[in-house]
Amino acid sequence: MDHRSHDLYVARAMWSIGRGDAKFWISVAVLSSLVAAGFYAYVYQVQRGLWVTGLNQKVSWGFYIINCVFFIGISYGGAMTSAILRLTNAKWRAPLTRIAEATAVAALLVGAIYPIIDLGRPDRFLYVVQYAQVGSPVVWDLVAISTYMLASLVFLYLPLIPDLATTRDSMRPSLLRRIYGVLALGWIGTVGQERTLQRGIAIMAVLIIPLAISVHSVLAWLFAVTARGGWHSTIFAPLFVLAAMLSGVAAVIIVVAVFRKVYSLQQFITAKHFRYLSYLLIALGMGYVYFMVSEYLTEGYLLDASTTPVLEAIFIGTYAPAFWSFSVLGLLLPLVLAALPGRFLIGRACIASGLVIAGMWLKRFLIVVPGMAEPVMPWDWGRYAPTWVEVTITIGTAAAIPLILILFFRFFPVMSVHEMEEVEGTPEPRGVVLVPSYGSGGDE
Amino acid sequence: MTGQVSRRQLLGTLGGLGAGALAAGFVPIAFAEAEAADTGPKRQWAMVIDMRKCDGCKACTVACQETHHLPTNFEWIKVFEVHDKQGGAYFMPRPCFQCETAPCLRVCPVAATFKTDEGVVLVDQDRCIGCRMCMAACPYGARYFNYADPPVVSNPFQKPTPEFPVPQQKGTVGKCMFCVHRSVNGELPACVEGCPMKALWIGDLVEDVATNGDETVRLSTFITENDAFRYKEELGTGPRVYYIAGHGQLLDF
Amino acid sequence: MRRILIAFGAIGLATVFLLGPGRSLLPGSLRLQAPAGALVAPAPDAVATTHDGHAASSASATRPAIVPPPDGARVDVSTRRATPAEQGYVVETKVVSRDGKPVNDAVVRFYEQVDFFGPREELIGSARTDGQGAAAITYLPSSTGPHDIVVRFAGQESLVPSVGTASFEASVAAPPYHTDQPALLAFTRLVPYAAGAIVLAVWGLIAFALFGTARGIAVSADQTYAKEDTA
Repeated sequence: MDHRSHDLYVARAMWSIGRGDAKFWISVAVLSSLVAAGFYAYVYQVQRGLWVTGLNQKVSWGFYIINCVFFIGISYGGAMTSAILRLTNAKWRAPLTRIAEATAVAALLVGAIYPIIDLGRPDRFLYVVQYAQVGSPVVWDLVAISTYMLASLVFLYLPLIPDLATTRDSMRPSLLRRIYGVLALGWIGTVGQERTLQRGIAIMAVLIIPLAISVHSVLAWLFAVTARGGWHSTIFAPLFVLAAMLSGVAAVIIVVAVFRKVYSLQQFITAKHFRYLSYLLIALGMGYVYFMVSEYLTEGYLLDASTTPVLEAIFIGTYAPAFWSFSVLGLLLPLVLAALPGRFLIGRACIASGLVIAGMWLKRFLIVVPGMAEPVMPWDWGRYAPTWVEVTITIGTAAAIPLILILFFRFFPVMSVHEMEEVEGTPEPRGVVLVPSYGSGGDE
Repeated sequence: MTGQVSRRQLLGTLGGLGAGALAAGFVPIAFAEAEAADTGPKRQWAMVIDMRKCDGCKACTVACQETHHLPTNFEWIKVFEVHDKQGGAYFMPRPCFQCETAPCLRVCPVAATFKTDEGVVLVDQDRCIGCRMCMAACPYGARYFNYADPPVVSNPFQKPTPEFPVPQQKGTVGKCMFCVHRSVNGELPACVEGCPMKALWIGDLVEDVATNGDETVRLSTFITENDAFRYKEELGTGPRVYYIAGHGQLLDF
Repeated sequence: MRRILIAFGAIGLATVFLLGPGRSLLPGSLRLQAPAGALVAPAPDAVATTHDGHAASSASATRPAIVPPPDGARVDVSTRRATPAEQGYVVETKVVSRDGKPVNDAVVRFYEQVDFFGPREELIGSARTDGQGAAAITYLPSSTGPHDIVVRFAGQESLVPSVGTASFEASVAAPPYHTDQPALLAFTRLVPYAAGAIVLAVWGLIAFALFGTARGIAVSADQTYAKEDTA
């Protein structure tokens, strides 16, 4: 990488810091009002009780549990993509890792509040810590999610340290500069610092993969340890993990595409990146098809009394429209779209990812709701239809993810400068990285 | 990538932490079952439901709801009308089965659900956080969540206890508990007393006795001689409710 | 006249004493249950037999005294150890009419007096009398200690229903009830310890990655500055 593209990369990466154009403020305003609407719906629910939702005595888990699984799944892709790319030392990772890691944290923050939204007594949430019963999958969830969140934050922070120093050095003395200085831990780029940092990142990259797997395994066991026909399945944990990775990679593709466009990163995030991410999407999608076939084949072949009603409802009954649109539109079509050679690669990857994300949400619905609605005393099916409260909260929390990302990248570089230099090499040794100050270089 | 962690350092950290975890122990945290399963001289409550005598009048449900001040959709003992493949129909009342190894007990994150030393599964509604994991885990659908405020109880000084959770608390889970608040006073469970067909029997597995209010029998003999079965016994939950199969044939009109 | 008055008074007192408090202590359902035994003063032929030298326990205070009707058949009850001993006890009864003739082919029901939601008679078996008017069941009590047996003869042809009682001290009883916990459950209790150790190790690693790195960066920066100072 020559001087010119190096400087341009740095300029693009830091372009959004401190910048607030009309687009930024409009996005923030729209997303914030959606989040506020969701918050209003939650307050409404807390004041009145969970009866304002569509939940009932038979179907006592609904949108909230689906969303919890869904959003934590979205967060996976970010963490896993970044960790895998780092561990395999993929050279093309530099412009992607920051966006992937930030998406992971944002989606995780949103997903992790859903169990609390779902509680009948959110005021007693801390009882889970105080009276923790290690035998309960809910406690496993708490431990796994909090550990994973801690690890995700550290995993986002460590590679950020050199970039924080870069940002610090690019600023005039101010309070903000001092905050960056504190966060940068006195980074000046010595050999010893570099070694220490790489060790920390390596530990986290190795750790984040089993942690991510543990979170979705535990979420799956929330269902699989019960005696319900649609849920009591040994394949649930790997199925959930794969589903999470699939939807997560799809989310990374979309987020990267959006930031590429909005932040003008076309020169650095190229079709090549989308091709590689598409490969990842296809591989995970094929894996998911395989797991699903394995699950439904073993259950559908035996057709024992507890699973048959659920399978009937999914394949030919009430939930058949949802299931077949998921299978065809949310799984097979995106795989074909992403795999086809030819033009419009980025557009196809984005459409495929959007379909996969929608499909994976539907799939979670198909796991939670029919499994609940299947009567345990086998004589009357439960019904579930969400109310405006659940829908509003869902939209509000979904809007919170881009909001968190936009705000995050207002303060931090959107692409990792340090990592680019590490992969591509610095053009020539310099005492201080020359960084354009605010506002320069964004308008080329 | 030059991620170098000294192996000794890593192993030392891991070993130290592992030892710490074991030393610190999880003493205050234990499986809820640890306190269960007392085999002392106390009662071990059980129930026998004679479907040869049930005519599906739902008097048991009504009696239960009156005793516990429950709304009408809270059927802690629920009467199902079952149509079998032979074209016949019968009624199957379903209380809580007070399972020996209760799935609801194991999944509760805060031990709000616990088992008394008389084998009855109770819910401490002052502890329950309303996660509804137990409702997902119960294979019999015996648990009910208070989505809305429970009906107002006439006695404002009534303080709910796990044995007599009246009034119910919004946002928590409630269920049948064999009317342990009545049995301490020597009163039959509300449903047993309310059953006009005398189809419900409350029993004690320790003294091996069961009564429906009129007759008193030896529980084990009664179960064996009438080929009583336990619903979904194959799940290994060890339900404490026995059913005598039938379709109301012992009713005389 | 005076003797008649005294007799009336005695009967009245006895009635008040036995029926009054007795009734109020009994739940309504139990009153429906005692068709044969009348609640009057014990008659001399209500023989409580014992064996192994133990004194018969008296019925608990809340229990009604069971007395055969004066015009009923005589129902003698006795208990003995069964062979083999693990089978418990043989409760034998002999039903003889007032004129000394054995009552054969009559249904007799055996009850034990229990305190279960108030005093109740628990049905423990039934049998038919043979040519000698004798019938027996084998009975393994649920607990050791005193047991009160009631045998009820439902009546036959001109014979009105009658009752007999016996008490005995049991030294053999059915095995106590115990709950079967799956053996694997004990094993699974170890799992949390392993899981807890892993969780703590992971937390330690994260802390090491964060604080170790932070400290390392700070230390390396100091060293560099130190080098620059000495240079």
